[in-house]
Amino acid sequence: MMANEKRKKLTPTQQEYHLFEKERETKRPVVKNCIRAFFVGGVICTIGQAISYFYMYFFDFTEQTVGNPTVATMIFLSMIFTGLGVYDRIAQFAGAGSAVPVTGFGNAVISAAIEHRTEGFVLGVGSNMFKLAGSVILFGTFAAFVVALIKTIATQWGGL
Amino acid sequence: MNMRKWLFATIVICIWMGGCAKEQGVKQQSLQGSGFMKTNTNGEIQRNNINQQTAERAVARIKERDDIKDAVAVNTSEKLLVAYQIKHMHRFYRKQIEKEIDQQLIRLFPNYQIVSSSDLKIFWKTEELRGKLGKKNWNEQKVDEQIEKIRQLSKERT
Amino acid sequence: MLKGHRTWVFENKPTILSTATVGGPFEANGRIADDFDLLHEDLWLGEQSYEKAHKVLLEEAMFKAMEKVGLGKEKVQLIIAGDLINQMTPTNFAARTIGAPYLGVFGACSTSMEGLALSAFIVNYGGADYILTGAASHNAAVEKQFRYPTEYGGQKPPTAQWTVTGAGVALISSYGDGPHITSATIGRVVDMGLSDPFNMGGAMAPAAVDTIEAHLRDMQIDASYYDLIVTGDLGKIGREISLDLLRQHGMNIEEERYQDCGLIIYREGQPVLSGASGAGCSAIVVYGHLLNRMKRGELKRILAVATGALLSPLSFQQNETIPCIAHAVAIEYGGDR
Repeated sequence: MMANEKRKKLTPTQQEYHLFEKERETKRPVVKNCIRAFFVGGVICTIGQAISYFYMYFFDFTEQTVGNPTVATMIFLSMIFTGLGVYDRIAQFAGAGSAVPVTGFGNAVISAAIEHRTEGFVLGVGSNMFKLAGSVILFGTFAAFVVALIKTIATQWGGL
Repeated sequence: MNMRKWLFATIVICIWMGGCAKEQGVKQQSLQGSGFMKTNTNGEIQRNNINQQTAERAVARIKERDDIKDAVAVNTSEKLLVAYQIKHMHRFYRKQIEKEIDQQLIRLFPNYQIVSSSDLKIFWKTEELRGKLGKKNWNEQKVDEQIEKIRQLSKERT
Repeated sequence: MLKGHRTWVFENKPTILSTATVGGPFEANGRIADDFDLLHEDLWLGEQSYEKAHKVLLEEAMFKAMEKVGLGKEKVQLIIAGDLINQMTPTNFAARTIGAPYLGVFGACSTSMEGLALSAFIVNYGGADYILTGAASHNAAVEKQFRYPTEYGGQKPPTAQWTVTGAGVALISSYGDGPHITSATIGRVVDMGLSDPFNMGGAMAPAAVDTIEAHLRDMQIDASYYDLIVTGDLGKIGREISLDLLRQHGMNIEEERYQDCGLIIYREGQPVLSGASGAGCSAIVVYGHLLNRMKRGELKRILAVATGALLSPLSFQQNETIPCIAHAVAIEYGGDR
């Protein structure tokens, strides 16, 4: 749909070329990507589950409270793998499978930090660290706010 | 490159094994504990007289429900601690099940202060406490204290 | 001398005295590793930053090219080079090291042929005796600027291309033996309205077609005049599209005589998706691999068409389409001279 709307602004020659090009373009293997994402994402979540069980057995964390240390550990692991240069290779294979779990967030932060290390700690690492993850934080918070607002309205005045 | 792959695989497997093998470990620990206790008391476990009938009744009632996998309970004369595990697919209705069980317990045991939880950690803790009940130096007051501790743990949110 | 609409013909036959190519670790595992003068094992090249490594690539290639003919750097009268980094700082620093008069040129990935065409033109009309021209790119430095951080785990689509780490430099002179530059066609910007920066081949193909057709028309020759027409960095998809376009326009061109630099560098199985790209791509293939083949007598006339996508990270974020360009330079060796 998006592409069609964009296409309308173009001249007829450009539109013709668009179609010509589309025919010859290698398509993203969507089904294959989905299957890979399913399995790699599943493996990452299994590791996460294992870590949370670990914390529950050895420390006084309940199912309610174990989330924080688990997330911290997962992010720590993804940072190590990013630093070793492994994570981007997993990602090329897995796609959304490695981007959607919290490890993807850790990767976005640390990869930007590593990348801009050469510009110094303040202007490089400090100001570029959240170059990619910044929008995740912003819109994550915003989405949470909107959902909370809807819930409040629904429960307070909607009688739900 | 190859070494990295191996390193990655090893770490993944370690975490996996580590995470899943804990249950065995804890069970063994508690067994060791009871063994220790036995030798100390010349092969005879000195049961103190906390009657666990109420707890047993509560467990039996909760296990009747078909959305409950397992349950465990401990009681003193004032308090009743019940922990249970909800079957996997029924966890979507967790809130509702918790509410129902709470009401059920209050109706059944109106004379007790009831602490109930579907949390796995609380389940393990309760199980541990139940195993310790037979210990020589455990009296009702101490069990009460433990139940209070578990109650507080179950109230923690972050 | 201008011939036709936009083609320069060089009567004085400016000569490529020597060339030098430098590559990185990824290129060392590629198909044309033997054609490099210098290959680096480490992407950092022992430097503090990728940008500095980028500069070193170009410097080394320049020194190597001069060394091959025993020319001191004070004899160089002009440097015409460029790269993809903001304000072309790696090239600027490399030019500082040489200390010769310097013209920085930007044509994205078409910089190599843009520089070669200009150098040939200047040498042809006596503007200089020795000109160093070349282009370089460094995978990590370029990705950092145009895409995501190197280690960021974003899945690239199959149309994406891999930026080459390497530099190719040629020393152009008015005399001497070697391959000579006979003509050059300057491209115009062609924008077919594509805006996906991960599909540059598709965007650049029409520019390459436009320049090739203009060159053949201006020179009044057939595609079969050249032993090889080689495009810059169209990649798998771009090459296929441009070939189909050329055929659709009624040009008779054989598949094996129409190749792409982006498909020559790497081996099957290297994770480069659609092929190689970057300013260094056409430079290392033409100045290294292809000139070596010409010297071995396998090729006599080639037409190198370097293609460039003239976008910036800002322009595509602002939903601009990708303007593309292609410059063609004809190189002949051992033919009619």
